Amino acid sequence: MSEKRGTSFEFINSKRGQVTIFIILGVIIVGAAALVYFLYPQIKSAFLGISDPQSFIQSCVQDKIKTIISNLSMQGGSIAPQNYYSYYNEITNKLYTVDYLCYNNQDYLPCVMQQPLLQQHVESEIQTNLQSTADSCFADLQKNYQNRGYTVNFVKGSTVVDILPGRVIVTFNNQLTLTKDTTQRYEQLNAVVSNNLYDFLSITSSILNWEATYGDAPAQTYMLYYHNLIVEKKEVGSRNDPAAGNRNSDGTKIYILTNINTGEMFQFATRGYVIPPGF
Amino acid sequence: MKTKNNLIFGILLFGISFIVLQSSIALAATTPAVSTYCAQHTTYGAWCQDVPLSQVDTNYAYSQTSCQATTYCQTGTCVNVQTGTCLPSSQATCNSAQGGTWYSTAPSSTPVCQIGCCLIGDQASFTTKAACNSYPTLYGVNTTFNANVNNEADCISSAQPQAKGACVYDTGNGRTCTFTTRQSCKSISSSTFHQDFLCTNPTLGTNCAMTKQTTCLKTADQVYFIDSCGNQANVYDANRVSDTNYWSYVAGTNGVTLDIGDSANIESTTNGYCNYLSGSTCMQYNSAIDGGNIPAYGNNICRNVNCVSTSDQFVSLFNTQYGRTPKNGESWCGLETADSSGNPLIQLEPNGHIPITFNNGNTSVSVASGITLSTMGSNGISTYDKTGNNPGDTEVLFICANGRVTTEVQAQYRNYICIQNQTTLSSGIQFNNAQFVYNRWTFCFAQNSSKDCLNTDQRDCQWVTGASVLKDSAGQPMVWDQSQDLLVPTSGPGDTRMEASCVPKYPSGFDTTPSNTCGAASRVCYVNYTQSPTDAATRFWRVEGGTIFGESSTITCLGDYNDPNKPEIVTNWQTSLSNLCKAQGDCGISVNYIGTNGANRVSDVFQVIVANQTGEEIHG
Repeated sequence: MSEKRGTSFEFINSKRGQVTIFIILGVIIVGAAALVYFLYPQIKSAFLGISDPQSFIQSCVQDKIKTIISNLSMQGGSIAPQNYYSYYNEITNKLYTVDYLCYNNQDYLPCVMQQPLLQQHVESEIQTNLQSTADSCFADLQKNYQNRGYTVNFVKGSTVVDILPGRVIVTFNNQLTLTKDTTQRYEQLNAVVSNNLYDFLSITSSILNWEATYGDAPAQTYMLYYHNLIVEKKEVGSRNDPAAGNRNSDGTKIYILTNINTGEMFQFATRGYVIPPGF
Repeated sequence: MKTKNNLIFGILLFGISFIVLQSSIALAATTPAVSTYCAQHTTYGAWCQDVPLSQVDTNYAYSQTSCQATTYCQTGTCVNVQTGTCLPSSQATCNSAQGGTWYSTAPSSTPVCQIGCCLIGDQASFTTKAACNSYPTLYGVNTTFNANVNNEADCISSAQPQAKGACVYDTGNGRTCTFTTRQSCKSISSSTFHQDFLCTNPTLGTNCAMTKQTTCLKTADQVYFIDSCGNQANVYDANRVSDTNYWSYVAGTNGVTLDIGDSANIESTTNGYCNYLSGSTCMQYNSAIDGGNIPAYGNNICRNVNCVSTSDQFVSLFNTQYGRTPKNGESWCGLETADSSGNPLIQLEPNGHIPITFNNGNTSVSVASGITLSTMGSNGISTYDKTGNNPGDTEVLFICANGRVTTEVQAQYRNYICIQNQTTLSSGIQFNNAQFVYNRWTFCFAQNSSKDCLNTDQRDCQWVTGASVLKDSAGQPMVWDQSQDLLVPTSGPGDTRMEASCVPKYPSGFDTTPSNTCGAASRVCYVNYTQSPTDAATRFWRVEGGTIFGESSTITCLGDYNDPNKPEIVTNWQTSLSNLCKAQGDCGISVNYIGTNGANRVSDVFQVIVANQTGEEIHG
C-alpha cells in the first residue's frame, strides 16, 4: 500500500503527472464555461442571483425576439403565412413560405394590397409569438426572487412591440413588486434588440406602393438611394427558380432586401399586372 | 410546256396547319364559362380576389360579381397613422384598431397623402403630409408641412440648415458636451452653445477627448472621427489623428480644411473622404471585401461600391465583353442561351434585345423614306440564331450597385424585353444603362399602314412584305397600296401589289400549354399542277408558275376554293408564310433557347392535299 501510495505521490509530483492534472483541470474549466454559456441566464440566476429584473428579462427574451424577427423576415412578415409562395432562397439554401403582401390571382389587373398596415402586422406577430417565452421568463423571474426570500407580487399586463429605426423595443407592462427589507416596484420592463427591421418595412411599403400602382418597382433606384442595401427581384415559377420544378411562371415576384453590413434579409412576394403568354 | 388540258384538276391544298391549331379547336369546344365571386376573404387567406365559390370564405362578404364592382373591395387609400404611409387598399385590410384610416379616394386624390415639403428641424423631406405627421413620434422632433412646395429641389433648398456646434453642460459627474444644433442645445438646461466648435476643443474644458475611433453616419458617405463622448468630429484623416486644431473646429471654419484626397479615396487606409458618385461610401472594414487595406485608425473605410470582384462570374462576363469591370449604378442585358454542346450559358446583349429578322426576301419594294422595312425571305424556317426570339429565350437584367451584381429575370414569354444604351462619361468610359420595358406587341397585327405600324411611341412592331395577316371581307389577304400606305382589298387577277403585315419586333413567347394563336397565320393556297408531255414519262408534276413547291419563284394561287377563277400572284409563298408564322410567337418550326429542335417538321406545317375539281380530297 505504502509503495502504491508512494507511486501515486510520485506520479503527482512528476512532470508527467502535473501535465495530466492541468489537462484535467483545463477540461473541467472549459466544460464549466460552456455550461454557463449555453445555459445562461438560467445558470446566472441559479448561482449568481439576478442583478436586476430588467437585465434578466432582457437576456431571457432577446434571443427569442431575434429568432422571431429572423423567421418572419424571410416569410414576408408573417410567422405562418396563409397565402404564400414556396420559394427556395439560394443564399440561405432554404425553402420558405413567403407571404404575398400584394396579390391578385387574375391576370392584367393590379395587385391588391394584403397588408397595408405592415408594420403593425409585424409588431403583432412578434408580440403573439413572443408571449409564451415572455410568460416563462417572468415565471422564472418570480421563482428566483421567491427562492431568495423575496415576497413577489406580480400583475400581468399588456405586451407592446414597437419597431423603431435601428431597434425593436418590447415593453412588458407587467407590475412587479419585490419585497424583502425594502420594496422595489416595477411598472414595466423592456427588451431592446438592435436590427434594421424598421428600414426593411419602410422600403417594403414603398415597393408595394409601386407594385400596386404600376405593376413593378425599380430595384436599382432603391439600391442607389440606400447605400447599404441590396434589392433583388426574382421572377419565380420559371427555370430560374429551383423550387419551381417544371411549373410555368405564374407572374409571382419575390423581392429580397439585404443589408450589406449586417447580412439581415427581408423577403416578400407579389403578384399583379401579370401578362400571360401569347394573346 | 404546260397545258391546262393535262390538268387533272388536282387542287393542292398548301396549308399551314399547326398542331397548336388543333388544340385550340379542342380548347374552344370544351372550356365552359366559370362564374367567379368577389370574395372579401378567400379560403386561402387572400383579401379581395375574384375566385370560384369553393374558394370563398363565407364568413366575410362575397357576391357574384367582379371585385372592381363591389363596395367592400373598392380600392381606396389606407393611411397608416403610425408610419405615415399611404397605400392603395381596400377598407377590409385597413384596420382602424391597428392605426389605419381608410379613404375612398385614390392616394393621389387624398389630401393627407398629398406630397409637400416636410421641415424637420434643419432638414427637409419631400414627402406626404401623413408621413410628416408621423415623424415627431418616430424621431422626437417637431415638423412643419408646406403643401405649396411641389418639387424636391425647392423643398431641400427651403431647409435652413442650422449651424452646429458644441453644446456644453454640466452633469452630476462633470462638464460634458454634445455636438448638435443651437436649437437642440436650448432644450438642455444650463447649456452653452459654441457654434462651429467641436466638443474636443480644449478651451471648452469638457470630458470629451480625442480618440482614434471612427464611425459611419446615416446621413453622409464619409468616415468621421468620433470623440470619447460619441460625438461626431471631422472627417477621418489619419495624418490629423492627433491634430488638436483639427479636433477643435468644424471643417471650413477657423482655418480647418479637409483633405479630400483623390476622387473617392477607395479603400484608403488614411483618408475617409468617400464619394458615392465616384465609387465609394463609408462601411465597416471587412477583410473579405476590403482585403489588406486595414484602416490606420478605427474600423471604417471608404468601401469600393463598384463591382470589382472578378471571382463573381457576372463581373467576369462583363469584363470579357467590355474590357473592364462594371461601375456602380451600371446595368446591362443578357440572354440565357447555350453553347454548341447545349450547355447553358449567358450571352450579353450590348444592344439589348434584338428584333426578329427576316432575311433574303424580296427587297425590291420601294418604300417611303424613313420607313423601316423588313421582308420575309427564305430563312422562314428557324435557325438557332441566339437573338433572344427563340422558344424559351429568357433575358436577364444585371445591375451593379453597392459593390454587388444582382440579376433580375422579368422576361418570361418576352412580355418584357431588355433594352440597353450607352452614355459616354467624362472619363471616356461607355457607361451602360439597361432596363426591362413592356413589349408592346399585342396590337401589331391590327395595324393596316406602315406608318401606324412603325410608330414607336405606340408599339414595338415592324412592317414586313410578302404575306398579309389581315383579310378583306371576302376573306382574301389584303395588299399594300404604297401610294396611300394602306392595306387594301386585292383587285383580283393581275393585281401585282404585294401583301404586307405589321408584325411584332419581338414576338411573344408561349408557355408549354398549346397556343391557339398560331392559326392566325394559316393560309390555304390553291394552285394548278401541270404536267408537260416531257414530264409525263416520269409522272412529274409542276406547280403552275413555279417549281415543285413554288419555292424561290412566283406561283399562282387561285384564291378561294369556291372561286378558283380569282388567282393571285404570291411571291416566295412558302417562305413568306413561314415567317409570318414565326412572327406570331413561338409558332411553326423552331429551335429552342438551348438549340434543341422543336417537334414540328416541314411536313407538319405545310400539308399538301390533292383534291379533284369538286374539292373532294383524293390524296393527302
